[in-house]
Amino acid sequence: MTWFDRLFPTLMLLMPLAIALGSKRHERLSREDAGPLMRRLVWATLGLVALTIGVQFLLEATHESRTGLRAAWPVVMAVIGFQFLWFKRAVPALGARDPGWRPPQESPVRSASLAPRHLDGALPPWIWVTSWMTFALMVAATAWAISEGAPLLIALGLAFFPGFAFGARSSAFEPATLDPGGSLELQASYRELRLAKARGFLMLGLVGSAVFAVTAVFVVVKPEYAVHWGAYGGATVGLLGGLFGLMGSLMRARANRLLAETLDEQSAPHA
Amino acid sequence: MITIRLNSPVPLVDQLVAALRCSIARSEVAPGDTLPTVRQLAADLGVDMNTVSRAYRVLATSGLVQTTRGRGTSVTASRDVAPLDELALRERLRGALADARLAGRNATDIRALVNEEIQSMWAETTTHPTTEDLP
Repeated sequence: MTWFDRLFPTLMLLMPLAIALGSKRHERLSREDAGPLMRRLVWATLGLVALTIGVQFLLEATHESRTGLRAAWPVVMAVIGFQFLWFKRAVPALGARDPGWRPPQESPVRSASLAPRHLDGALPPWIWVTSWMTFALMVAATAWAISEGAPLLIALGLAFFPGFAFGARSSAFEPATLDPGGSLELQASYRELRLAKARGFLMLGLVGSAVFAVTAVFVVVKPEYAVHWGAYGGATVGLLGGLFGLMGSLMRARANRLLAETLDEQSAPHA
Repeated sequence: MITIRLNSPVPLVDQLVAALRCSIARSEVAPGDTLPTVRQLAADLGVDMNTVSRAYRVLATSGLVQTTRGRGTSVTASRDVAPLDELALRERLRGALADARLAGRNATDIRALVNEEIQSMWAETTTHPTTEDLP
């Protein structure tokens, strides 16, 4: 697993820079100050990668077993380092290049669609019924496994689904800032974002709870598989969560960019 | 779709009532259509939920919408609205024109404004876009 400890945090730390470098500079609505912000992102990324790898080699040299600080260091750097680089360095740089990464423009003119969102089918009743029935099966399986000797703590993992179901419901109704002209493209973009977020949250909640429920059953039925299943299942949930977050951010950026472009076109003096 | 201006001297409730009345009059929302929930409209417009709630109540009092517990607020058939005779209409127009003149606007400007509003009100309209209409 040594290769994983070196590779995983490095990739996570490089991701914000990769996304920023891959983003296009908006022709009309980019800002002049993007250069210094990009340079700050590059230096911060290089510094953190060097620190992470350097300390990792030091820990490998001084700690024989992969426990304690040696085990925690790559994960801590992947999470905290990523958060710092993404939110404090990459998002401002992206925002300078592209209005999609800036908060939506506050305007005294507010527009809203009269189409009720609870009828637009983001989460129709059959999806809810199927999801909760699946969750009930997981609860039953976990309860059985615990009664057969699986650790009680594993039941905490079932909280994944109710938590994410709440997120799904909120996403299905989240506000949509429209332009005064009521651009259909913008409305479609918000709807796609709502659908993807609501269904993604629900799916992630189900997969997360399923990993714990199946782990609980493996602990009883095939204990030798339980550890591997838990590790791979947890990693899969983490990966899916990361991809889901990235996809949501990109879709949100698209809606924000469309709004900024539409407002800019509408505010431009007519020839 | 409706639009309001946060920096307008006209109270938000009045703007909201006027905007919703226009949408109903232009058949952007048809009789029987459900309007957005108070929470949705308030969040989209960035106004307090009480503002939207009050606007819906004003429209319900004038018979344009009805709120049913558990089913939300829907547009009623336009024939349910009390008929407006010519005298009443003249009084309202006169009031608006008097306000315009007191504000120092000249007749040419107002005539252009009225024509614009007439064209907008009687323009060919469709109901709000459904999911099939969206690109």
